Amino acid sequence: MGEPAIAVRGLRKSFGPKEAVAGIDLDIAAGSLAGLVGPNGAGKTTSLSMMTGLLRPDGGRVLINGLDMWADPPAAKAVIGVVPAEARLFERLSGEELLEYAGRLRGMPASEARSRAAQLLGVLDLAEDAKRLVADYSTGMRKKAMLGCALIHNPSVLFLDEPLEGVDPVSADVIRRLLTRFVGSGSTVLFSSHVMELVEQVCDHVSIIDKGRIVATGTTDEVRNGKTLQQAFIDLVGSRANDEEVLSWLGSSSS
Amino acid sequence: MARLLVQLKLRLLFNALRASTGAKVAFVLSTTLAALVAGGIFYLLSTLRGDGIAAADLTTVIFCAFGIAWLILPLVVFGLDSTMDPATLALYPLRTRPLAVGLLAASATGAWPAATLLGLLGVTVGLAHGALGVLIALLAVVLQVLFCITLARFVTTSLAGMLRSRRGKVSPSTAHPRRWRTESG
Repeated sequence: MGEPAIAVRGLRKSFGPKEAVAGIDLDIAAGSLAGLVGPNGAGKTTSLSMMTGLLRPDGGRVLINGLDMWADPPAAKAVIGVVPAEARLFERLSGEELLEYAGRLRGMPASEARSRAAQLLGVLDLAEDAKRLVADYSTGMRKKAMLGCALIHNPSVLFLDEPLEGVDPVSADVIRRLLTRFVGSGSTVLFSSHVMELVEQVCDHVSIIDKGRIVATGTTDEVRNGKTLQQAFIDLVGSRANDEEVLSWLGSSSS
Repeated sequence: MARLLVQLKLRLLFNALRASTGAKVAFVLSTTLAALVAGGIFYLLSTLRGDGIAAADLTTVIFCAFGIAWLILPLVVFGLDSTMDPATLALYPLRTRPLAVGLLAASATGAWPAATLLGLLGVTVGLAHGALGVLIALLAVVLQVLFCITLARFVTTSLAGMLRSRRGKVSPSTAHPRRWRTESG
């Protein structure tokens, strides 16, 4: 195996006194479907934003196929696709226009962008809504449209932040199958999630992040270590429940 | 890049007009008003010819007034126009210089930038003497229009950033109904 598709070295970011990401290292091999899991506020979105060129790190490096993201952002951004957690889309474009412009903004000729957009909308089950404005799309449809935008230039690495958050099971299945197929062709996917079952099912590589640090990383089986991922996660991150005595009034409605 | 972003801007504008009658009416009214302002200011500036020092002073005042108007009016009258918010383009592999030029070109596409340009061109009649004078006047008008557009863009973008951050959401001056809908979407 050659150089990793994603290599992260000592990535750091603070917001004021709060250290959101406290120096993380990560290597994701080409062709893997990797999951980044962690509790809310662990630094998942911050890490992904820095890896995808959206948020400037305080320190550390991000290499995508050997291209340094923060030394030359346009060069590195050209080979990745990103589905951010918070949608920032051109609301007043129709679905097909959105994908077409996503392709053209990446330098594709208009005709090529249009034909790929039509194919992607078909696979994403959005063909019937292709002419509707993105502003009128549901959460699941928006996620699928964003995924289409992220794939139109056939990136070698795809980043997704909570791709299935708020998505109905049917759309989730469409997204999941597309990701699996994408990885099958040799491309790389890194996504964040806190749905352990999903990560356990689809990912061959898992990293657990907590309080801005990577606390476990490796193949899914290594990280699981014979347990369910859910249990391994709770063991590592620590159940924050201290509820036995404090909430003695909860649950008995007799008084 | 500039051509693509101008196309995108026109597409967004066209789709907004197609979507609602209210937007169509607003667009017609706004364009008519822009045409009136363009004509009025051009006339005003051109009739200053021959007034000497007063003409120069008044022209300066009018140029300044345009700057201030562009600083304030886009927010008060039209609300936050985030159609071409640069943050939307952050995911794309765009180099800073072509992106800046492209965004400026996209911002210059519209009735009000055109009205500002045409109106201020009155200075070529009112104040300029000789070929060199006209040349300098033209240059000054173009620079003034670019200044106005950049100024408005600066204010809109900084407010859009503030609005998007979780803490900025409750600021009353930015509580614009259309923004709330897109935020929750």
